[in-house]
Amino acid sequence: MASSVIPTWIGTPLNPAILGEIGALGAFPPVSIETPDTEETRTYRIFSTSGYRDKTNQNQGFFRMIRYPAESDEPVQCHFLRKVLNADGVVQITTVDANCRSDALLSPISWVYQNEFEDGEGNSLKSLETSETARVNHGELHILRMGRLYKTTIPHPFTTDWCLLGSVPHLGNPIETPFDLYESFIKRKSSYRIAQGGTVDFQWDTQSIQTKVFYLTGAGSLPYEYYVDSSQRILLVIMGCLVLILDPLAEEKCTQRIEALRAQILEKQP
Amino acid sequence: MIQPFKLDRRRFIGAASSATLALNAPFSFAIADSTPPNFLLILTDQHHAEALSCAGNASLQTPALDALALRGTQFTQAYCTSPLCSPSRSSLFTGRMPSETGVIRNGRAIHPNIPTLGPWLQSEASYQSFYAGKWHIPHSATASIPGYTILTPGINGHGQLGDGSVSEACAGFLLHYKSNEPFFLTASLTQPHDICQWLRLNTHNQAELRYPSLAESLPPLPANFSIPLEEPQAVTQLRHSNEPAVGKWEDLHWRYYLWSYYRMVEMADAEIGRILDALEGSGLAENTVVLFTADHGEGCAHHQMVRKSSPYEESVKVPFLVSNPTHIRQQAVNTERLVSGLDLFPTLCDFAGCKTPEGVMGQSLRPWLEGSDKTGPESILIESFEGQGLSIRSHSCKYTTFVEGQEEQLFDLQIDPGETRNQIHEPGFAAMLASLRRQAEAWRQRNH
Repeated sequence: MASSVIPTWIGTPLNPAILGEIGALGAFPPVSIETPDTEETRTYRIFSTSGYRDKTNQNQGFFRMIRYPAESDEPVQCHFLRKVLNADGVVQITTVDANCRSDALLSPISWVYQNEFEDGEGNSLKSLETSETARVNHGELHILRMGRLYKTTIPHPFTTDWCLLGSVPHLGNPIETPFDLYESFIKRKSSYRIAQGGTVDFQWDTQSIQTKVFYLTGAGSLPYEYYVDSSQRILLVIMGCLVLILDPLAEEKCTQRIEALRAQILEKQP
Repeated sequence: MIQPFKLDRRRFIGAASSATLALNAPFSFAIADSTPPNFLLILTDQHHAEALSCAGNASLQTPALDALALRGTQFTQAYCTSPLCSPSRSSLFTGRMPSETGVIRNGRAIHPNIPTLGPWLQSEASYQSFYAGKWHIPHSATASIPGYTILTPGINGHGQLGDGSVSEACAGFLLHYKSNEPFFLTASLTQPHDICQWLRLNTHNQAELRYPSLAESLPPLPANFSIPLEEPQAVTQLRHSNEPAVGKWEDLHWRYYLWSYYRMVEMADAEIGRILDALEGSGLAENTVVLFTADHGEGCAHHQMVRKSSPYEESVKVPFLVSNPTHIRQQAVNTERLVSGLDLFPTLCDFAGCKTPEGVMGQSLRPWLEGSDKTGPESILIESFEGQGLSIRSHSCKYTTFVEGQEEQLFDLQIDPGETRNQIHEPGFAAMLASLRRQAEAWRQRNH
């Protein structure tokens, strides 16, 4: 029984080589010229696998981070956009505009979070919308959610997984002091640390790529593995069976897939 | 007599102060009032009953579920009707055993003549039924479930990403809900089922930890880690086909598997926290009964098992919490009542004030939740291996029999909760065994 099953399992944790083998990687974009005066845009394809080499490995949406230039003593402005494809053409769209400290964690100090859904025909579902604004205020985090104010103490340094996409590429050292992680800006998780995982070099397509690896570990998530290239770009983030892959065309690919799914839905309707 | 409950807060506080309300004291909800409560049913997938910090597990943190337990009743003897997704879910939503619903394996639909929970509450008690997340009867993630308005289907088989959509859709729904009619919302999360992906990505034994910093936080192996000497062939075959046997796992890899599984439970807990925060913020919490359970458990290294399907406790026992800030016994841990997935349907009907359909097998938990009359089953049934296996869980023992091979197991769970000593040949258990065999035979006769 086992022998017929073994070949389809990937068998080992995802890494750049395996992602290449299962067709997840495209060519990484060439390095663009970025200066302190230009905004930094990173777009990632959201890819997931069920752990089989040959089935149910697919793109599930995209994520974009824009980090705007700022003077060293000013907050760093960041814009985040994520689209997640659910089944049957339903799409979750989340945007966050955040002001962050220019520290090692790119710690947010205020943000506006908005979330909406589109149904399988592309209609916006107003009855599922959520929004909140948050601000750090004298050691407390004040969150205004749908007209109601929530206050919570901030016992530890904190950041978000989305902000870390902007900070990890610039890390010189591991972060050993535990910090809290507000996952997607809304779910608080604790006891996070960032460790260095050495270097990983790999060959993909015609590209020879050298990366530094960082590991993020803490409660409430599998470890995140960040692969940072010599141009201080995160090329990959591997989180168990979920991967962010640097891909400037991720939004177009996502849009095409949504349109194809919705066309199928329309075809099925009487 | 079935009474829908609705207790005005002022009257409740007044009643409480005059009656010196103590924790675990019997509650009385005989006040006849109008509106039945809302229901928020939260499901996780493949959730080991003891993978909760409120169940005493120090290897993980589940603050949202712990808070839910504090505001309600935790049943510690709760079982699924089958340790597999679709069969178990078919029972949750019909109150019938998988052999009756026709869903004895994954990916089958419930027999069309059998009423299901959402449409039943809608037709019999004017509920509006909503669903978000995994369904799997037959399709896993679908925007079309008869009798329900779908908020989002989530992502087929991917809890890590899809559960965030499910929780956020539920949060939005709760914060916007304005109808006068009560709702029945199911938030069906996929985690910690992603352990299946993890297993396929971590098949091969790791002699060294990929993340050395985790070394000190790896959970210990369970006391019943060893493989029992006597067990049904089907269970042994299941073990041999799973990743640990294929990959020849050593202790370190087993412990890393446990660590990873617990992180997935914590992921589910964070999503549940998001939903419960929204319920609180919506102002609906006081008149909403929250129920939490799972479709089945996870091997968690007990008997060197991973995943589900086996009749061992880790696979068939599930967490079960029921909560309401004012109407349900608070901080109660019920170790007595044998709970089955079959009980969900009649419990909700009881609170809603409507009858149950013909053929529903379970019994309402409402009397236990309110501290009134306490009756419950002497035993419950668990079907496995596409109906080939049948287990009977009594208050003290669990008996398992297979159609093929005449294989049987009998464990005395009071003295051997880890199911390490098969008592099937022990003379002292002969009378009990004869009775359990008769029950099993009667069930088989009824179904065939």
